[in-house]
Amino acid sequence: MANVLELAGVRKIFRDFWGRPRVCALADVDLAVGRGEIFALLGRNGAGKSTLMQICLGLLAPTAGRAIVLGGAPGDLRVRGRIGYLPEESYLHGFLTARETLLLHAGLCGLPRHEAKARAEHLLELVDLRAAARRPAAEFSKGMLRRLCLAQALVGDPELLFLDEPTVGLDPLGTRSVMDLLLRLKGLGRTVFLSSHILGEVEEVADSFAILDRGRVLCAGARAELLAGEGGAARSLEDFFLAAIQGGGRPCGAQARS
Amino acid sequence: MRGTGALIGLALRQALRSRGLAAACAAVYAGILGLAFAVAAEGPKEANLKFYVTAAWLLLAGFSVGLIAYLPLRFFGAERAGRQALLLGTRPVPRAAFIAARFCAGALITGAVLAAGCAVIGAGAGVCARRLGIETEALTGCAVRPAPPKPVSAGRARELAEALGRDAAFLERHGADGVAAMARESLAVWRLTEGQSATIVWPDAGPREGGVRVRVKARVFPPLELAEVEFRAGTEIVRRELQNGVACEFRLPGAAIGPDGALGLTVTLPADRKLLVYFPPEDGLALYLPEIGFGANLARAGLLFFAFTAAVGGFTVLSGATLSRAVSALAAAVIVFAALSANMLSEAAAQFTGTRGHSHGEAVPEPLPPALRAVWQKAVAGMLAVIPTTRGIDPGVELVEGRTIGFGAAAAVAAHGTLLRGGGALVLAWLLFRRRELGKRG
Repeated sequence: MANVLELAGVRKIFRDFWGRPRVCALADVDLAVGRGEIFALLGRNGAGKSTLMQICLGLLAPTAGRAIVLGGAPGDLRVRGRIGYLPEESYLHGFLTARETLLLHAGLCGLPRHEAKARAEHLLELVDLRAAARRPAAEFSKGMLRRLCLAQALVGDPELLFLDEPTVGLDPLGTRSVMDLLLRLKGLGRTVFLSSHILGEVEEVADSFAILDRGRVLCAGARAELLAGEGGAARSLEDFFLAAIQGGGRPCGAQARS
Repeated sequence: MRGTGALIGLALRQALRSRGLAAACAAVYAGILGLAFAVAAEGPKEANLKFYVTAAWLLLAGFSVGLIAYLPLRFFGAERAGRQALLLGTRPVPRAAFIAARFCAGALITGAVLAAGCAVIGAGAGVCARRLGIETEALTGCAVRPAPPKPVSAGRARELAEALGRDAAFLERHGADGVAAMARESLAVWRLTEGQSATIVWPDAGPREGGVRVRVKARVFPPLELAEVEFRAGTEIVRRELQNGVACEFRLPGAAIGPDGALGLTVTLPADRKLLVYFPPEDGLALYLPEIGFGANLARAGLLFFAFTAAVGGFTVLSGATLSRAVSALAAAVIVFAALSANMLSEAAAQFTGTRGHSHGEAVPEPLPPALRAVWQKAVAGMLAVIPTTRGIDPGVELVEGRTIGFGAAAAVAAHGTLLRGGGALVLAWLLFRRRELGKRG
């Protein structure tokens, strides 16, 4: 299986105004994600998951190391045309209606007008927002915003989808439909890179995962391999996660400042 | 290209759906129109009409510049605060498109506001003129023909040059050629003392059936005295009391212009008062030849000012794209202030550095020591070389004074200001913005 995402020795240090190292968000991260799989990035709050995702999206530049997404640099326009992104919060323009939001992002993806309209209607249907298509996003509930944001991530029919906490703010039905959607996308050969705190959901859909703690990858691999306990008995993802965090976390701030 | 269009559409929606902007536009237009009803119907009617145009233009110009400064800051600042830049930054759109789109949207909105504002001023001037019972003819755009220099005999110029050249320090400072030029220039100024008269001829004044305007701004010595001067053109005689440095106008009928198109104006000073009156070549005495109506001149003023605001927009996009919200607001305020006071700065620099000045009167003592003067000169010259200007033309003053604003002047402002300086600022904005990490907070 060809890799759609490869990270080699990726390090990210945030500096203060004077250029002094302030925070080491990522330390020498090596990671690979194969085509067509659902990959989950797990970790505590502040582990560096969003930073890692933003480096993959070209929104942040790594201090050191190399990221290759779909065979190119993350900032490359051809690469950007093949990815979708759902941020951890729904950063949408409140003055745009749901339909306008999708048309805007379709336009930014370079879709022709008629195709953009058809795509927007299809996605409004998919995320159950057709009835609210003419309402400005500022009037939406958190769950509606989340669904609209998911729709904008899908507007360019991406090969690789980055989802940062995709089910935050969704009710159980919404969560269920997102999980079903992820499996459907996988069935269509799309790759999904997601981060989540809700281990039960991840366990259900992820083919492989990595655990990130204080900027370091504690472990990464296929779900079946990682969760296989001694004597062939499978462990739950929650048990595995807790064991990994309690046993492996090591701060890298001191290393960054050296 | 489609991405740039989408971003322009986004910025336009962002601005047009803002209730604050709509309310501000409505308040400005209402103010401009309301002023037409507030101008006093008594007193000097033409002066009142000109006051209206001055005040209305100031209101519109100030609002337009404020708008072009505010819009890019809003586009970038709100997006950064709301973190929508994170989503937009992942789209296959080059960073240059973000810069271009915000600039285009800002310029489009400001252009529309300016165009509508000009229409409101035009309507307001019409209302004001009707209330005052006069025509807007006083504001007709005219071609300006300054008084031709007084003929100077070579012998008289040589005599004066020799007299000036006897002062070794003066000669050393200006050189022989400089002294000769100053002597000629000094003698070529129309200057009268008590009882004297002079005839100034404009060879290409007509024919003009509607007549012409004469604008006079004399210097009178002693400065507090009023000089009653008689102007005669053919059979037409006009008397005016001239006050030192204060402009006045009068009209001459078309019949005052000779059949050959020449207009001879004889200026006579009364014999009973000991006075000196002279007309500086810059603005002393000029013929105003009507060319275009007020409406057309107003449209040109709007065009010229639009070119200027677009150039300012380039700089405010630069500050909005590269600086944090508070710092960019401060930077935009400085840019607007510097751009609006560029003409004043230029005058100040010329005076302090001795590159320009009046050809008459006493030498202005230098207020700065030479070392500081050089620093001041370089600092002001550097600033003037960068910031957008209207190239010495104040559209509001030109409108009120009734001088035609040439398309050439608007094109020059567009070329030097919008393309060169505003464009340079946009290129710099792109160079800095393309390296910006959109994922960073703040």
